[in-house]
Amino acid sequence: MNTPEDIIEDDKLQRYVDQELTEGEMKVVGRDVAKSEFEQARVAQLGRLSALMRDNADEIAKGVDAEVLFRKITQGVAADPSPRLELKKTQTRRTSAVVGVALAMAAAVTIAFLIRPPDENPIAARNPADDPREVLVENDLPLIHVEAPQGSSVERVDFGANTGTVFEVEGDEGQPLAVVWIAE
Amino acid sequence: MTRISLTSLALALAVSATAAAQAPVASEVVVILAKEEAGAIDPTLSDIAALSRAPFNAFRTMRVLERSREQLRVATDRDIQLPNGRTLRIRLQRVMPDGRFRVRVSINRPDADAYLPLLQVVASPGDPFFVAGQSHDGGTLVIGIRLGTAAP
Repeated sequence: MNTPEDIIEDDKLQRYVDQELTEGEMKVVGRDVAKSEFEQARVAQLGRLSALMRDNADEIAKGVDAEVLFRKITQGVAADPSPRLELKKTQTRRTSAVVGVALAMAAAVTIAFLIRPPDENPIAARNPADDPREVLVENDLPLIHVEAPQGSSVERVDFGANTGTVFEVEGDEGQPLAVVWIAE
Repeated sequence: MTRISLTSLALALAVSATAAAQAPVASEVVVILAKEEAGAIDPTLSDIAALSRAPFNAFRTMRVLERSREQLRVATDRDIQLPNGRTLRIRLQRVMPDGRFRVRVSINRPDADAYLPLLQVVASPGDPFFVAGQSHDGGTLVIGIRLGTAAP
């Protein structure tokens, strides 16, 4: 009698039937199947399912109604019932329920992301000093009196046909005073 | 409070600057005949310390030929006849925000090429500038120009 530990995994057995395992895996699974009538029955059942799928592949490609196709397959299975297949149907229902819950949760998370309020500026949150808010403070600093430059200075000069020079002399307070000297 | 004070100050400065630009500005033009020969220095020139410094201290005689006081308005020409027949034209171009004056000066003679076509100077109130070098009567003309009143 096979214990749960001895039962070959469904996926592995399916790939054994489909000959998708590696050479080494094929040998190991084949040895286990050869030792167990239960596994041999499963292999036979999976083989028939694969054959049914292959037989209806053209109709699948043509877009036949899935319910009709599923009915054909289940009828084929009913002709040769297997306890293991009953187990798979239960697992499928459970898997569908889990997938449904997961989809519902994903939808809820998506909706939550879509309707949530926008985050605050992360840079401003990290650097409050950068927040461009206007802040009024009392200015108690004394006024600074800026003196205009003293003296006089030449900005532009045109000596025309003459020659000349521009220089400075010192005023009575040391300020520079402009002198334009024309050589006549 | 501080903002209101600053706004008031800026407004007051703007009004003050506008009023200063429109008000006439006192000017003084002194025409001096300077010679190297020994003589006297006009005592009325004692308040112009620059005339006692180089290169003006090479002149041992200074005589005031003309002293003209005018009220200048912005963008208005004032002509002053010089002893050598030329005309000194002075125009106050603008009163600058810091209180200094921008002045344009030219010296011409009718029916002749300009002697000094253009001179543009910026001067603080009370601080003179000088135009020198014209030959006249065995000496050299030194023209001192001063605008406004010196700050106390």
